[in-house]
Amino acid sequence: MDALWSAALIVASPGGLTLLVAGSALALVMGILPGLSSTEAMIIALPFTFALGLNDSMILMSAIYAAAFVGGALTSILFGVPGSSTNLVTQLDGYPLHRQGRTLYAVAAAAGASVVGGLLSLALVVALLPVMGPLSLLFGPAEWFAFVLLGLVVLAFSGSGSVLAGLVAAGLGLLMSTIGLSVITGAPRFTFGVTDLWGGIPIVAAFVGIYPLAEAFGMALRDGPGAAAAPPDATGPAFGAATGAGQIGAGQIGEGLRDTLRHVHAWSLGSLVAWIVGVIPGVGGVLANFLGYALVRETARDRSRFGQGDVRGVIASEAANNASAGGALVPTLALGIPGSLNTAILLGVFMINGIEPGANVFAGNLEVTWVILISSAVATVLASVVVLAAGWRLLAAIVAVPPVIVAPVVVFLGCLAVLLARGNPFDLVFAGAMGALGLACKRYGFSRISVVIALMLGGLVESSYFQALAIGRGAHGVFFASVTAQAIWACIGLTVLLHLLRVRAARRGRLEGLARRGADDV
Amino acid sequence: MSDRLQRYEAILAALALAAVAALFAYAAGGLRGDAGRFPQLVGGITAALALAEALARALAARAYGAPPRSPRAVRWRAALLLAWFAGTLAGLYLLGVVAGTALCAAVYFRLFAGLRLLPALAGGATLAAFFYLGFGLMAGFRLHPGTLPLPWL
Repeated sequence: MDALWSAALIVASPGGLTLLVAGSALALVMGILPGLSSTEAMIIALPFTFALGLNDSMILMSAIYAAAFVGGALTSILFGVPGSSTNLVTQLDGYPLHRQGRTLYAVAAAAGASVVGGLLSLALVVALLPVMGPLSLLFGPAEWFAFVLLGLVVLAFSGSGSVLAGLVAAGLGLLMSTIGLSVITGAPRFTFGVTDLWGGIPIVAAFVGIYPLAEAFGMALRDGPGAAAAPPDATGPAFGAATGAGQIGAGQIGEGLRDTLRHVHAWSLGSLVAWIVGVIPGVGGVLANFLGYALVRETARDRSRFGQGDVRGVIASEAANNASAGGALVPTLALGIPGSLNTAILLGVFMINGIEPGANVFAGNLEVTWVILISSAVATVLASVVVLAAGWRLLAAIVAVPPVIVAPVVVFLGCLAVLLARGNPFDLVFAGAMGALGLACKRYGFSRISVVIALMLGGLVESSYFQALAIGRGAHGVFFASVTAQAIWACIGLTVLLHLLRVRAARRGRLEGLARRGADDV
Repeated sequence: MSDRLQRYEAILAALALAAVAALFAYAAGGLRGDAGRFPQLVGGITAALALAEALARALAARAYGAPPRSPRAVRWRAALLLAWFAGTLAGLYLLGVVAGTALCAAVYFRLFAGLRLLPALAGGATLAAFFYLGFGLMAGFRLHPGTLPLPWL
């Protein structure tokens, strides 16, 4: 309780509140801009954390982490373009609602569901806090090795691209993590005599290169000189009705919030499913968002209006993506293994402050854990209130700035983060190389998140591998010795099996389709 | 780039990754003690997976054909943007954060955002001033001054 009280005081201090508001505002802006997400927002904020302590850094980062989903929903509803990938299915019902002139109703439902989903998932994390310590004790080197492997395998199997490509990307990340001094013997590996390579690939340079640089490249390429800043339907009748009439707005907001609370099935099931998916390392919000929506749709009594402007779709989707954020915090806080790219950045901030990933992240930093949870909860509520109070005005102001102008700001802030992280200008070379790799991965369908997470956890995987072997006196049976390890390996096997079944079902469906077409031709 | 090469770009990418992974595994063989065991293991597995991916892509390319090529203008723009990226990183390294940002941002605004020369220069100067005031003066960071011995830096 002391840690909770102390964390609450830290967040409620003038400095803490300022950082909370600043982080939420930045996340809202980045969430609203199509193509940018909380990841880019967190990386943009990274340079500021070098001047802040661990607690203040966590307030800023957690606020961004939690608030970006809310901004993304606004773009999905108003333009039918997801603000970020985790708002992908919000547009399925949100955009039709906007076309029907019920924009603020949909926005209110999205904001309400975000708050409910976010707070519910954080409450689950808080409920689990007492068991997190004992849970982390179940993990020895063999279990850590298997758990990280599970994350990388699930990541490869759940992505939109090829499974092999996902595994290759993870392998590449693990290989890159071996550059520098060996964690086992201390001997330099793959350094070519360059002493700057002894420390390995700096994690900030990897983040900045692989994500924002590649995204900024896409933004600059997509929007040439004179590209229209106005989104497709921003001038349409529905937008006009929503923006012009305050009295309509108040009515629709109230109705949207009431309906959110009324559809308990949509937000509770969506949140729960997404939270569980979020707990699996590396899976993140996209799959959680989709699964939450799909399950609510499949279990609904009347499914006929889904996809045509059913508010339950908006509620399920938004509750799900906010809940997955809380779920992803569990492996991060309990084991020091990131549940998503954003929690990997959170963990990166820990590392910058000299705290290595592992069970100690939670056990040794209870106050920081509470700071993260409180900041995330307050930021979710704050962002939703801002969206409800001034969402469309905010949107109009933000979309007036074309992405082609935003792109260089992202690039330069990213480069600044790289330069400030270690004070070594040579890191720009790493960022450039990682940028090229990020672009290549994006173009040729190799998962970038797999590369980053594997790169970050490579040292842990290698040291766990050798520690486990040492414990087992060189016998590989040690990796399957404990019940925890066996359960994790079973999960890996189940993931592979489920994927094979899915492939088989898809192939059978395709063959049946071809056979039917052949019969029709005859 | 020829049509043939364009069609098989994705396969070549997978093959290139296989080669990189195999090189890691090969080079790890020369390391003493246990230092090379992990990269050898991961390098071997990754190379095999990348080869399988290349094969899968080759079969898919034969069955379904290749994605359409981008228009020539888009390819030129992408090449120019890549050159700007490389120039920006070099500019920041050589000229430092403030001068590098001012110059490279102005070039970007002129070439890619379609701004006239003066607004582009103003945009670059604004961004550089923001970094200098926000990070250099207010936050007290030592901004990288550049590696070129320029008298005004």
